[in-house]
Amino acid sequence: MSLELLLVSVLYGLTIASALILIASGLSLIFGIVGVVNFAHGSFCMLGAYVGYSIAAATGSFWLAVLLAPPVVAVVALVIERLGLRPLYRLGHLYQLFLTFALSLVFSNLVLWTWGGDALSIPKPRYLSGFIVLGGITYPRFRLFVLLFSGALALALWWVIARTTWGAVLRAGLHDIELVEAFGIDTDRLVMTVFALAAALAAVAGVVVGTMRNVNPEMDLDLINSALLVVVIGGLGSFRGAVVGSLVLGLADSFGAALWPGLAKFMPWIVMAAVLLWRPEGLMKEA
Amino acid sequence: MSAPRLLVIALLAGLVLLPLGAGRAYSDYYVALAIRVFVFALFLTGFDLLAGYAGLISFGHAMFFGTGAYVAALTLKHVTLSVWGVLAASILVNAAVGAVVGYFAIRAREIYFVFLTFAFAQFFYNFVNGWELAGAANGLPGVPKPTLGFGLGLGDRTVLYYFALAVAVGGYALARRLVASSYGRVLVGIRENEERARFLGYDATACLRGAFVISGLYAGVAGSLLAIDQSFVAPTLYYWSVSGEVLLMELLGGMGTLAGPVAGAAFVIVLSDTLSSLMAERWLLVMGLVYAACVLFSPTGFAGLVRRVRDSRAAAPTPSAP
Amino acid sequence: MTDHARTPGATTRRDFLRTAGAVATAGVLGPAVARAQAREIKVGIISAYSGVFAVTGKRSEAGIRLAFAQSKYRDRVKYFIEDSQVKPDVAVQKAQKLVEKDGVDVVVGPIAGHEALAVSEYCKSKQKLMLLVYGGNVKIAGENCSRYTFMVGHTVWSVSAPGSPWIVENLGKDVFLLGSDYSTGHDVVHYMELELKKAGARIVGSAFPPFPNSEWAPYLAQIKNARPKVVTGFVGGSDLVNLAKQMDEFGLKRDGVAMVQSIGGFSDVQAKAMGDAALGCYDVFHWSHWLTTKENQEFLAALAKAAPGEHADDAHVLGYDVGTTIVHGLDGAGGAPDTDRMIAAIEKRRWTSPRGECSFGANHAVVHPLYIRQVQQVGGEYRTVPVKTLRPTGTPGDASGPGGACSLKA
Repeated sequence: MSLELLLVSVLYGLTIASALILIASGLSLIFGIVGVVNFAHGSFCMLGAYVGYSIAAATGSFWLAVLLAPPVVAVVALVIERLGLRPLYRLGHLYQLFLTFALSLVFSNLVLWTWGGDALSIPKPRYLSGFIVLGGITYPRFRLFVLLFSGALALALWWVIARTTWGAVLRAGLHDIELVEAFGIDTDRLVMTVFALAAALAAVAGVVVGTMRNVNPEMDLDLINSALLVVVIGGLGSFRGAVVGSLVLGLADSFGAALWPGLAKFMPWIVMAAVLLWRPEGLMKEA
Repeated sequence: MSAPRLLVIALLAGLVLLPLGAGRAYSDYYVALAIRVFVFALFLTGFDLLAGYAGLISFGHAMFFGTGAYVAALTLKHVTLSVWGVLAASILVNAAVGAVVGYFAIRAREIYFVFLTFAFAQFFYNFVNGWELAGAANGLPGVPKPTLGFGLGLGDRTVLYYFALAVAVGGYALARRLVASSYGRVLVGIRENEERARFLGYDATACLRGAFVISGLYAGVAGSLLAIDQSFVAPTLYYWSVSGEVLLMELLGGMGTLAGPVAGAAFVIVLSDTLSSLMAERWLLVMGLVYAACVLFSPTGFAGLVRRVRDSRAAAPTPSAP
Repeated sequence: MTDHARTPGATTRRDFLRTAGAVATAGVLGPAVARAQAREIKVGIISAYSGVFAVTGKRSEAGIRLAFAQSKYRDRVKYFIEDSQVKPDVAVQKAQKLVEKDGVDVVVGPIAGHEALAVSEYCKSKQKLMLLVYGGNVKIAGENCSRYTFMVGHTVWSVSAPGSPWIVENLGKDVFLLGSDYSTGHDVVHYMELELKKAGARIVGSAFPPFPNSEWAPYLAQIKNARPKVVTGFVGGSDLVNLAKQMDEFGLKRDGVAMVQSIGGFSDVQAKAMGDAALGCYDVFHWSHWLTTKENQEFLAALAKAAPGEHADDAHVLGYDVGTTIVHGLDGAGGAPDTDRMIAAIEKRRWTSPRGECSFGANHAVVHPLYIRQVQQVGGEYRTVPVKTLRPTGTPGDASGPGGACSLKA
């Protein structure tokens, strides 16, 4: 393996991991707090990407898309939480998975209806286009931006969870939501905030990934697939798990393709099966 | 005779008589559609044994379904034209698949079991998708129609219809006996409290592995029937969407009732067949809304709905004053 | 009771009532109307109407409808639309429904290779005429060919391999082959490797990334190491959008590596999603929106009228060619949907399509023109313009052909 291939693989793996953290951490927090495996999380990303596309097309601004798409998607997520999932909390994981799966079907068809089936692109700002040459390796500027931007967001999220009072409540909630309720904290609001936050992060990821790759009506499946792998590898219901899982999957993906191209398509499954057989509850158990 | 028993007999009689009107009162196509319903009814009967009774939700049963289809196709092409040979091969191979995958997968529980079975099924899909000798992604055409013996061939759709009906009903009756047996009660016991079952001296892992293999055999035979019906197999039979669809049918029908999931299968197949012809572009949207409405209004599925109606009727004649 | 009891096209009760009604009306309105009200022509279309390929289904349907709207059968045609979800088992079920329940005269087949083969085999068993828009599975032109099936669009071979000599002569001898890891990707790479080597190329490397695959960085690093002049092969669906963008972003374009995609791919619509990254990329296809022939201009004008606001794309023109082929068959059969007479007429069809001169080979696979197209920027929009016209080509249906030898008896 040449040094260039090694460096590109590391950089690339980290870029993908950073974007995955934004999606998987929300998925994991939702599971941790209300026990819902949200299959519609990929739809949140996709919706963010499409709303972002329309905003960018109307205003010509990538930044407005990044800024305005998340609140729109957060509102949609809140509506789903209030009207759809709330009545199902007393039932098992499966029923919520069922509902969110049904909703993902609705969303992908609504998107197809509204925006058509052709792949779309969100234009990036001029200063983020093209590539830079760093010590002999060429790397796209936008990917570097994704790495830094998503990385910064993930750090901010970590700070909120680990260092603020709200974060402390959240951590307690992830551990045992009934206990938090017993302390007189409004868990309804906590759940809604987690949903809104998770959906907003998914939308940001959707805009960023949609710009990096393209926007199409099947991107939700691609993203939920990766995000589910991440949280299963990392351990459900934990922020640290989402981070670790993203890094493992991102790097496994990039090195897998570079070293064993023939096995690349099996790589995520091999990693997941190996982790589950070794530690059936994922790598990180606690929040 | 009780009303439900009468209903079952009427349903069976209707199914036995259905091919007689085909081509006259209605199109022969409905016989083909019914065969597809039988295939999935059989699939769901086995799936419910594992999901509804043993409490293990598999998201990888497409691996048995696909394997059953491919084993049938390859057996018919290269080994024997006897349908009994085909079924024997299907059962043998899937027993092996179930034993190996079950050995690993049964270590996990709940949502982790869901993902592990999913991962295994993806292996199968990717493998068959690249398997040149079986036509790879293009699939395997020209699967010959098997013979049944007694001078009958399954190339005749009516014969295939009765054969599939017999297999589905037989499979259902077998499953009924199984859940009523002591083994069935142990499975439910494990589902309710695994530790307690272990404490009482049951080898829970072995019991669950057994249930995994048995439900896999049902899915495999269902896949073989589909291959016989269509004379064509493709890797899409291994795709995760098959596992997902089966799970939908299971939940729509009501877990752990056997009859519910079978009704769920019939409902999904007939509804999607009708809707997709009425509105090719919008039908999936409507299906999504129907699924969402079902889980919101009756989370326990059709079976739960029936139970509720029955309970309210039973309660109705004796209104008690508070 | 069995299949034999109902020959295809036999009168069903509904048909009978409808015909009876028509006859009754004709009795009042006179014989001229009776002729115009002759039997309905039922066209069944199995395509993708959900998921990412939904646009392909809708566009080819628009093309078929346009062809019928221009014909004398415009008032007699009735469409039955079915969504196969790109799954062979569903496609077969839909074909059963169209043939046995709706009693269609012609089946327009599904778009993916596996489902096309499955439905073709079914139509063969039912002796039902089938035309393929896409679904260019070489097996249907070879060992699984059918007297009842016509491949109107292309085969995977006919829009890949014949472009190889041009690539070597014009872009360079050092070639890296890239194929999405499913049958089409593998097949195209296999066919092109043979032809490229014949033309004197050196294959400096090859890779089969998974499908779908959004991330190309690791493969691009491999490609860079191999130092090719050309990257070619087949990358499916919206993966190509990502590939083109990333080849640009990782500096391969700057290094002068040319990109050629077989089976189209850089259509105007796709190029728009790629933006500047697509500029200069080539593909091999049998049509371009920007062909200046009279037939193409007329087609574009007619489609613009029939579907305002739609940008005519590859699927439109293939649907249109399927439509005009059915119409031609009907003409040859004296206006009645008689399968055998339609087949005889279609076999002999030679026509100037918007694509150029077309006809059918002995194996019922189309012989179509072939163009090297390049994405260029003209007046602020991205256009995939033809830069070179190659010799018309079909897909051999003999032992030398990619799908094996075809025998139409059966």
